[in-house]
Amino acid sequence: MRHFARDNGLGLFFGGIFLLTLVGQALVGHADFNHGQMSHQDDPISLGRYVFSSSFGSDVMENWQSEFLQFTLYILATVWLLQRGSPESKEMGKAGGESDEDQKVGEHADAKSPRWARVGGWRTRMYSNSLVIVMTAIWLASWGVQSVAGHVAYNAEQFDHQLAAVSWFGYVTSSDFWNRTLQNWQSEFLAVGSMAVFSIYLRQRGSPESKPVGAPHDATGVEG
Amino acid sequence: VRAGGLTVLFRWYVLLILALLVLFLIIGFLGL
Repeated sequence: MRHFARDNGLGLFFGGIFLLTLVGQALVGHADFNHGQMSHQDDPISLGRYVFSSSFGSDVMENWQSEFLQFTLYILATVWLLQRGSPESKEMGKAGGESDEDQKVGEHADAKSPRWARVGGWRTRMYSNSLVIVMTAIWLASWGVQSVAGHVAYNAEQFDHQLAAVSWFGYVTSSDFWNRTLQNWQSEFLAVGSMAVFSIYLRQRGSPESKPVGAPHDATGVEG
Repeated sequence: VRAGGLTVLFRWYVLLILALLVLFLIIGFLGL
């Protein structure tokens, strides 16, 4: 058990604080929702009802989609784009998918390589892109669910204000949907860009996201 | 490191993400 915790520190820590903050969001989201209900002279709803509401669902999903988009783009962009001086970048001149030898695929796979890296054909092609495929799938799924749940929540607001309901297509082309979407995207892209650029000159001792403290500013693709 | 010990967490992440996606999708479709 101690082994398990030590071997899985990152996954357990972030999984744990994800669950805690999701519960926190449900609690304060419920209070905020009921505040809105009261200001419209509507009845408050229970916490259980709120957790199973489109309002909570769209709030959760709009943040998910932007995070998964951010990491998808980062994984993809770092294949081809480089940043001199950044530990987030590969070494200069290494842009692209690299050789089969570098990537240990097909005949260059070793005894401990995953089977799909070794077999070649569509399975190796698919496995070579599996991280981006899955991250993209979760991004699109959560963005889609954001639109479905957001549509319901939006029409509930419209109803409260004696305005006409809109179709799903009407919602995904609405300013509400794109305002919720873009306000999340812009913050993700700034944070990712900042990581790539700040890490040229700034260090965190002991972190693999940083270069070693004493590494020169123009050292690229070196992790501490 | 035994691969089996690493599989558990991977499965929990996948299950948790899928479960919440499906839950909110159903909630949206039901118009809740």
